[in-house]
Amino acid sequence: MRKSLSELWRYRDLARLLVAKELKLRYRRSVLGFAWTMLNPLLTMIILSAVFAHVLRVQVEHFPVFVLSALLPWNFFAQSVVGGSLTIVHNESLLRNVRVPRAIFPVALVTSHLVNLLLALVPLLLVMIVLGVPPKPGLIALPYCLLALWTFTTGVVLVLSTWTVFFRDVAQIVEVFLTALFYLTPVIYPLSMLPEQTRAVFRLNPVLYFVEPFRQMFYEGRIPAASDLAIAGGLAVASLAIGLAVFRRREHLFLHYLS
Amino acid sequence: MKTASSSTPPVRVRDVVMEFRLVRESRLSLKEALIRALRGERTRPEQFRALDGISFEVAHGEALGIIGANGSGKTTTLRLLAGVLRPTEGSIEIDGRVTTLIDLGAGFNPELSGGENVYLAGALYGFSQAEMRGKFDRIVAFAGLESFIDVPVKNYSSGMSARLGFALATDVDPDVLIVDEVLGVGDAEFQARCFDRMRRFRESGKTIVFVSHDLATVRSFCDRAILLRHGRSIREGSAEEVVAAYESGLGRADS
Repeated sequence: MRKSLSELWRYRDLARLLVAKELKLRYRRSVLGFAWTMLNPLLTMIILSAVFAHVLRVQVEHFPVFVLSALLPWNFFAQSVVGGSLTIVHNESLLRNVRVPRAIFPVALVTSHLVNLLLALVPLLLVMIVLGVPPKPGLIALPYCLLALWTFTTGVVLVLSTWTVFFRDVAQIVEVFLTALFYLTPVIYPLSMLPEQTRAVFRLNPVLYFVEPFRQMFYEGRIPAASDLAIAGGLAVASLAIGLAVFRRREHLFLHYLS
Repeated sequence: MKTASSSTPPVRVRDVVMEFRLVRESRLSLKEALIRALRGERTRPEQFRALDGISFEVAHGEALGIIGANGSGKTTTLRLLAGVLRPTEGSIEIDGRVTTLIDLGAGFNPELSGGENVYLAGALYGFSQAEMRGKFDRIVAFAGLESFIDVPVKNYSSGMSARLGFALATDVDPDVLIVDEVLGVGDAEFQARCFDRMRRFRESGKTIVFVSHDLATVRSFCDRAILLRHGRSIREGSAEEVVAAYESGLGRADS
């Protein structure tokens, strides 16, 4: 793992350019450009707020902040996984011709989504101020939570981008799986809404430990419990270690399967 | 290692065997794979031997030509030298920086401008941004694309992107340059400049491996040549002699 990481570090200029490329390409095609990153979650939030507060009459105070604070990390995870699974397949012609650490492509893609997440935190803060939910000092845990989220997601994406080379239906399976996972993760409902036993089962979902802290920091205004942060850190490191191991074991075969 | 005496050939290929897994029809789906695994069926992919025990060396200042019919293993050899494939057996040792001219411009992103692609490609070759800034103007000038450098590459002609690719790959100052069938693109004047640059490159003691169907070029440009057939080297010697053997019918796919 240390070897993979130091190899990636040597190519950090390439990683930076790949991240910049992802962002440029994503925004060059849209009229609104970067503003879209901020508008998109706001629109989702408005829809969810309308449905939950007015149609389903769910009683959650400051629902927009409640939902947005968990939706942003979830979106980061889901979009990274969907896009990241395809990074090896999409960069085939480069992999065929140039010798670079191959893991740089999935890593750069996840990182470009991290930039998006940071941008999307701006409208969240605006919504908070408008609704009178002031940012609290609990946010000092934010850098840690972002790093843990990035690390965990990168590990998952390394595994999926490897499998996508060998099995053609991984992308479809991932999509279905993410839909299920979205409802299994407390994004549009509070974890406290669930009965005690169910809650214990839901706590087996690793993604919970990366989404829930954001809600606690932004919405509840408190520092997430140290035990939860420790679990998140452990899961993140385990995910990255497994991801790199799977990737390294298989990467020399990528070109045999891509055609 | 740059300190190695100049008598050690910088490119050393020994007994290389390259087997590919023959992926039939389309790739397996994860669902099928799981079902087979549950039934205890073991899927063993068929192997295809693209190279069957190739050995050669290339010295400092030498240009080696690799010729052969389609499917003889030329491109596989180049990819192994470029380090993007790992040999099934045998070893490949290369001293110094290797640059490939395979598929010129294939690595370019069509949506990005020529200039953005220069920086990206430079980083792919392992250069820092600062190093690339020093090379940028020279690369653009050699490619003759000063007035098009901010245009997205998708609007380039194939000749333009090939020119940019060549300018890039040779300006990064590799120790070993690997050239695939690529100089056919671009006009005669540009080709002449390319060969001029490769000649000077060789005179400065650098190594070139050249793969081409263009026998006249191999004959005039390379010192030595290897003729491949079905993944084996069937003739090795002076470029003149090997090209003559190939022209006389040796190593043709149907021979």
